[in-house]
Amino acid sequence: MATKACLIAVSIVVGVSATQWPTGAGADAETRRAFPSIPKPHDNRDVVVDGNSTAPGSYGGYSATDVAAWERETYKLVLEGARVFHDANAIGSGIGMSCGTCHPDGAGTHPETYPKYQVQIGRAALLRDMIDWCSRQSARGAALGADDPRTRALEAYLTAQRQGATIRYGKH
Amino acid sequence: MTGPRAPRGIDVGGVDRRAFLRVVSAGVAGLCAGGTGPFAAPDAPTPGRADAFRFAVIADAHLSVDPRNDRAEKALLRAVADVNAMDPQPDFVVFGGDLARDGRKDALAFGARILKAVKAPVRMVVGDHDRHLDGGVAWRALFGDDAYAWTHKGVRFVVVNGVRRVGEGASSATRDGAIQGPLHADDRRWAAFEVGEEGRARLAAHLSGVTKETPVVVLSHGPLYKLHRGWNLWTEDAETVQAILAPFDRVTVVHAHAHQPLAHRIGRIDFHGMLATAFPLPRPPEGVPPLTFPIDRPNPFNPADGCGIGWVRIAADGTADVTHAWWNREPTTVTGRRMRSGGVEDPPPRARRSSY
Repeated sequence: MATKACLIAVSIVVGVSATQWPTGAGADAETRRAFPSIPKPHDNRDVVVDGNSTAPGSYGGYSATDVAAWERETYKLVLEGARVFHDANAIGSGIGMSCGTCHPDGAGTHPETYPKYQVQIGRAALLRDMIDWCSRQSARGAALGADDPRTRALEAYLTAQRQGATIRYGKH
Repeated sequence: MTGPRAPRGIDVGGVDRRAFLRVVSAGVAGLCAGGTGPFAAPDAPTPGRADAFRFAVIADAHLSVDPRNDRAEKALLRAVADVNAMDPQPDFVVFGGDLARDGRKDALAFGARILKAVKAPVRMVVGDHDRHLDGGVAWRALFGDDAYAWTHKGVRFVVVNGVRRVGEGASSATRDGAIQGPLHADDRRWAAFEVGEEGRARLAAHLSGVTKETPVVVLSHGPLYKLHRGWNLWTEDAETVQAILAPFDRVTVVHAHAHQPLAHRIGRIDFHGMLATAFPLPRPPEGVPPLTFPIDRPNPFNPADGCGIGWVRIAADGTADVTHAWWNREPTTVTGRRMRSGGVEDPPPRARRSSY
């Protein structure tokens, strides 16, 4: 409640442009509050090899700490993607539109169907090509290159949102 | 050149000046021809038997004054041209809310100016984006009360503010300025919509003295039923609102906000979600009512696909046939007969490209 009040206060002070939640420290917590249904990464505890384990340790025997770090880092990228996805300013939209405006919870982005031939782009497109296309054409925002940290985060978020979907690349 | 001019500070010249002038000129011509004009004051209730007529619906324009938002602007101009070209003319045009993308005064004023070109009278419904910055102060200054009623050819029309937020307070006027923060349908930090105690009392008052045989049409931006809370396609006090409508034989709720056709029937109340002009939204992952017909997934490479306007034809017995006039597809009509038959009669066309 205090955080909400704080957000409102901040928004009022700095005006319309500050109607997004903060980046940096606290951003992930706020993103989790906004989008609590984002699935956690796959549970990899089965690859942990400890003194009592009979697991083959095909990766060479990782500890629980290692696996926790993998999850933390992966989830962090996904949460950053959720933040960018819902922040019109983050993609430089000139019209106040974020990705989430048209794609709540990433719906209708179907990352599991890429790569696929997009007639309108004239090539077999990857998800990142569509992210760039959407940012420029639909949100009137920035060009997002393949290595742009925003592209990487967005791809992570969209993939996470389709946890469990069957990959059908090329599907229209 | 003495033609109508754009509001000061809003550059339409670089965007689509010709279309703007065309619709504004048409609106002025309509006013000169003796039409009642846009934003006409509601009339007094005189319930009775309906004469068949048609009203049009435009919704979810999501305007801003930034010239980069020309797509939304052109879409609304197109919608206005479409309703002005309807023959016969609709008796009036409902704007179903979300005129402005983020509730800014200049965007609302810009939208008002475009809508003044509508030849038929315009009835305004407030949307959540319209109220985003100030709880509806700017919207009310332009368009008046957000809850009102009138009787037209024997049909009782009631407009409700269906986009108050739970916990907003007894009166939005006391909370003006409080609605801030990012506005995403899927952001779970937002409270759900409600009509609220005051809104429900006003709805009941607007229906008092109306006989149960009188056809009733309720106009709201929010759906007035519970569909998918995650995307705020949800009216928290839906059951209480529906109880107010339940005594009437024939009730049609026309709502916006979902940016897609939806069809639902609860008791004797029919609910219809209407098309947006700005952009379509995907089918929600849950709660899509069974009477909703399947639609082809919109093509992102065609900004007009999945968008359009609509109209409602009210028959003499009060039956409402709702037409979704897609801009890139054949129109789809959801008949009152279909709604009453639980989806058996008048099946809609089949979809080929369903949602993922």
